[in-house]
Amino acid sequence: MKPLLTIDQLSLSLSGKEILKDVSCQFQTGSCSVLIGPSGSGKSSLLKTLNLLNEYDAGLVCFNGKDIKTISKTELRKKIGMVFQQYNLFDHLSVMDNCTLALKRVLNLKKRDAHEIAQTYLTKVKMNDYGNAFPRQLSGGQQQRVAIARAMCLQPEVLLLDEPTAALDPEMSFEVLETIKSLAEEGVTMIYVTHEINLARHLADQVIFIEEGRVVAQGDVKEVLDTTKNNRIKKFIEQIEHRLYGSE
Amino acid sequence: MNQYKLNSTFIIKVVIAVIALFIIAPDFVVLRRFVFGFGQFITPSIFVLFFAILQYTLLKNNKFMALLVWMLIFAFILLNIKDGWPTGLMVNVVLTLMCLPMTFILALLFAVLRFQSTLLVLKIFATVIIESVRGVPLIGLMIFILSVGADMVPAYWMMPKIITLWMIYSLFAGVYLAEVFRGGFQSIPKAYFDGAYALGMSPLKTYVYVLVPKVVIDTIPAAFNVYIGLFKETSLVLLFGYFDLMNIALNYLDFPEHYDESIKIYMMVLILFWIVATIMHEYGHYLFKTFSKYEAKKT
Repeated sequence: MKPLLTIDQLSLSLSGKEILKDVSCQFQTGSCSVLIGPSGSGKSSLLKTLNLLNEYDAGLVCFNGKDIKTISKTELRKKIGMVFQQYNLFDHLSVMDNCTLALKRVLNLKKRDAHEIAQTYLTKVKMNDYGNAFPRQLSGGQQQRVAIARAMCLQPEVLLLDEPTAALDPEMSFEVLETIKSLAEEGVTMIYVTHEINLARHLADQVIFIEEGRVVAQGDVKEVLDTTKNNRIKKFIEQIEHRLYGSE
Repeated sequence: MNQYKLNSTFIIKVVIAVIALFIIAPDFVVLRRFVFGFGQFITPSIFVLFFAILQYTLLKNNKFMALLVWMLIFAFILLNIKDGWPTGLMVNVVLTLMCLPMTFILALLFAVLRFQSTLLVLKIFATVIIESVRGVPLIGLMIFILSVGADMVPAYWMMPKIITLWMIYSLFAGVYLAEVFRGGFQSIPKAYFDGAYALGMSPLKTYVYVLVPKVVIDTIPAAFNVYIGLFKETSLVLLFGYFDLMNIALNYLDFPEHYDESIKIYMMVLILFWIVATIMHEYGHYLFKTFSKYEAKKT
């Protein structure tokens, strides 16, 4: 099967600092890939590069076999949605307006059609009763679910999730993870940056471990997380589980 | 939602001021002349009616209708110029209302041009205009353009004086407001840009549909500061022969039989200005409360 997204020897530097070096990986249609790694390793930068929020210097990123630099940014971002760690909702717009904004202004849909689509996705994330609320009146978990609905409204082929649960407490992140799981079951291609090893175990078809801008290991969950021989990864996973479940 | 309620202190303040006016005023005819000038009732009344409609359209969030009403107001003013401009306090009020939309548009334009960094030439242009107009006194600018400037251009370029004044006031208040708006733009977190771009919006659309509405709502209190300043500065038109409130008062005091009333008259003038400024302030408060519902949770 032909991969949906291919990254080939990607290099990226931001304001003179090298962030990614020679990153190569592939994402299959309908799969869920999880990017893990320590903070500052370039995971988020890699995600932002995929929908050209960061301009890369060298290498090739292909979407559906096409170089993404040849696709217009608007077209690309319609097909690759993104969810941010800090939700990035527009505070001055209601939940419904947040969701319909892109439908009305980017896809040029009529107000009624846009509302219908937004309502569908808000129902999917169980936020359909909050259409008239404003983001600041919602809890973090609810805001993140709205952000997911907003990204899904454009019906993207790929959904990029940049640590969607990192700013949430465990209860709220559970709400969000349920939503993400249901999307994964529907076959949305997802690329997910996270520290939640357990989620990776449940969800991931592919795990990519990144450190200091390089791909250290990639493969299926067992290969990377459980039977790995790489000491660095072992230590990283140990530390996370240590933090989660306490020392003994 | 937090529905706006008329502030009771505001009502008490204005009622006290109006009572004070009636006590201070030598007689009702003088007070009426100060507010409406020499028998001009129809113009201001229609004006107030237009303003009420504008209020309604804003409340219904119908931006197109609001724009249409502003244009009607403006057309109405233009049509009225040849029949004689209103006099008294209405000069100040009408001129302020006339300047508001232009001030707003210019300010938004300059603020966006100065804030963005793609079109460098326009950025420099906006910066130069803002800094040069802000750096000179309004009265100097007015005298320069209306006297010296009038000599420098051919006669067929000459506009009615009030139009020139309208442009000067709009530009002057516009650059101040532009700086207010620019402050608003600079306080927008980068997350807004990322969020909008990730939805496939172009930079232009991001400005038009996301950033500008947010900035305009957030800066309503600061913007009304500029508008109130504009209103008070309109009394400078007395230099160019307009019978605004201040000029009428000065004229009234020129008669020997009124010499002993000067304290009363000046107090009347100041209270009248104060009442209008207070109403403007309350209106700004009302707009902010109506449009910033999303701040509800923020204390």
